[in-house]
Amino acid sequence: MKLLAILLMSAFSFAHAAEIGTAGCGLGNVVFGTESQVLAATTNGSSYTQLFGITSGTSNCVDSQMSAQLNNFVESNKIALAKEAARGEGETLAGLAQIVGCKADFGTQIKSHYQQIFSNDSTKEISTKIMQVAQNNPGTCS
Amino acid sequence: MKFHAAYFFLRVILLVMSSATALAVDLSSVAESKEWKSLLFVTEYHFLNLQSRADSEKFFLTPNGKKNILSELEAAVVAVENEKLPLNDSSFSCRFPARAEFIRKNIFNQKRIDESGCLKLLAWRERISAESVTLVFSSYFLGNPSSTFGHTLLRINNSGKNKTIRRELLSYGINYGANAWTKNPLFYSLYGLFGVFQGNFSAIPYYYKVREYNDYESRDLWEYDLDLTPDEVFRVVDVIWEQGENYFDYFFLSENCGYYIGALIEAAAPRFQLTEKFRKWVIPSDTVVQFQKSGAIKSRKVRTSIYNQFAQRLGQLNSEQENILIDLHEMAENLKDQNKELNQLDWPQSFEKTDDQSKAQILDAELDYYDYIHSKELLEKSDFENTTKKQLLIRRSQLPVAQSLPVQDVTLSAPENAHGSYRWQIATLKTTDRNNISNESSSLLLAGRFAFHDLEDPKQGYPDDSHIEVMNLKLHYDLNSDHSEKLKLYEMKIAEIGSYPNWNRWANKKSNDVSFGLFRETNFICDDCLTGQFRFAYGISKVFSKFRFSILAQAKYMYGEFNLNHHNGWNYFGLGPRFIMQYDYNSDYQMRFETGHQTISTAENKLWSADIVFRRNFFNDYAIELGASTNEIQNIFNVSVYSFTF
Repeated sequence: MKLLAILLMSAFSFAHAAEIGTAGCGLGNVVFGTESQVLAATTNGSSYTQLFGITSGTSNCVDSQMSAQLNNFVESNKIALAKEAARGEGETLAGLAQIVGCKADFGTQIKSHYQQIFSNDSTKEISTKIMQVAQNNPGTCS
Repeated sequence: MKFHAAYFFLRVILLVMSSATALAVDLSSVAESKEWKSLLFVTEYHFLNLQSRADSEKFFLTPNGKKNILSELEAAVVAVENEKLPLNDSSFSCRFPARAEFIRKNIFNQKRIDESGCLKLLAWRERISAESVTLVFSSYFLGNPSSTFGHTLLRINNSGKNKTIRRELLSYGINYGANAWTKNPLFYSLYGLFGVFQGNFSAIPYYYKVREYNDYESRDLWEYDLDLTPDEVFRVVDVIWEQGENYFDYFFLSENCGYYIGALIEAAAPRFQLTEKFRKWVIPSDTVVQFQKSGAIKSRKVRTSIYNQFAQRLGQLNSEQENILIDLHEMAENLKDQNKELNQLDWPQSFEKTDDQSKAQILDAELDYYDYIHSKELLEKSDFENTTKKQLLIRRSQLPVAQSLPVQDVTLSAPENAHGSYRWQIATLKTTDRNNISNESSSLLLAGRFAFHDLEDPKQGYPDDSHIEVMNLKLHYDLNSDHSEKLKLYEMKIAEIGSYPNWNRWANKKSNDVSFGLFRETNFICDDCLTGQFRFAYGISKVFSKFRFSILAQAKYMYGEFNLNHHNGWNYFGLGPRFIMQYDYNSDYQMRFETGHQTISTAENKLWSADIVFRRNFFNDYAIELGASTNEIQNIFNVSVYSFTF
């Protein structure tokens, strides 16, 4: 539980640094009446409401917020994502392709650029390089 | 309120008169309908009156709404009636869209109102983009007291703009949990048991849950697609929205995730019988079984834990490849000792010699294994593990894509068909004095167990190497007339938790078991005395074919009125070995032989005992058992019948 907190804290600190405010894609902007929505998240038995309140959500954000979604996804899934990127297949990699609007064979592109993309642990750099790969593959990514 | 009731009766009658086809609507019968009660979570009795479980006044329109469901309905009817377009976020229909829709449809016979003014509600629905709903069960986890019996949550599936592939990781998970403000395990347990915490629903990207359960805690996630209509799926989202400012007092044993996940689905799809089938104590795995029994489950999928993914990959390697994996893993682990430059992995010769496809397979297994044993260090961004892992990953990226893991047959471990966690037992015992065989007595044993599973119970849906029993109460009735005390407490086992995993170099899991409670003993130091006991055993188990052998070292503390030749005493401490042999023919036929020996403090006597049990399980619901046990004083034979219920 404590470690989940660390995971979430890191997501939070990143989100904060990137200034993804509560108007982002996340739950933070889900407000109800005048009070803030308790639907911000908790895990099983622990409360990280504020952390999650700022963490970006997933789908249906407008395009300008795609980078925020991507950053949060990369930050929270970094361990699994790096592994699947090196393998060239996996569900997390497919999730990434969905966020950046790429087809399934995006995984192969990521694999071939693995060393460049993951040369640094910084979420922002990883995300930026992923976007570069996407932009350089108009056939795979829309 | 009375005025409102009368007013609405009048309104409703007028409405009925104006429409020849409509039936008269009696608000009190609507208030008593399952649909309305489910929407308000009205399933709790308070002084014989039904009331809502919701504990926030913001969940109701009337101050007495929790206790008076009719007045709450009347107020809601008034609110719907008075609503004028355009709506805004504070309109009743925007705040409580499921309730408003229910009233419109069932009382006013109207279509859905124009909700375009409900900006926040619409944003919520769009964000969730619900297409279907999945019940998720995360398997038992002994490492976390709040998850011992598993955990349930929902996933609201969406497939994004293109509606092509279901985006499971990117869908929202809906969790019900306690809003705990303390991490102290003692206070956490106490507050959780006695309803001090507030519980509420929360929405969180599902990938967090996968990372937490699958990867970090290495628990399997069982995912059940629910058989809901599009309207019901829509309503699930609205019902969650209505939970916005609500909370429920959280009770770890009764009002927990298992209960409210069922209640939430029932509020959106009242045709399913879920919560009324729950007992007072709700165990999350029972919730899954109840979903299955009520017909709410359409299909099943398992998302395997990181360790099980590794085990699957290991299973695909031949013995030569496994040896290379051992070399590879030693290389990764020994870097620290050798104090080498971290960026320079010394790849084993055996690994370098094999072909690329084989390298990819072996390295894939190592990567999963590394994630499993170093989940904590990797998440904490520990330098050493992260640098090592990075080298492994770079090498992996230079190798070809390997074949995907095959789909496993998980029928036997699937929790939706598990036996009931309550168990009743009736047994006849025949006790013989070993020193005087003619001294026989017969008795009856009646037992009830609150939860959960022992090693001989039907395997379906439970881990095959663990048992967890909570509160097993046994009463003993002596059939021989010469005893004055005919009915007595035979056992009150408060808890017994044991795990006997097959040891291998990869999992390196040891066996252990802990039990405590009151047990009646007849041995060298006491004659039919009730003793308080605490027992702890630690050792190792190995599986050969259908046999599991466990060797454990056991320490046992006993408190009771013991009679010894040289003195009487209350406290005894015993130490000694214990051996268990389990024969797991299949889920229906089980056999266990167990023997132990103890040297006890402050007495010269040694205690020993041996038990053998044959169990035949029928349909996951019943079982017959033949058992025999012996120690230095007496032999006991028993025939038992068990029944499992929910």
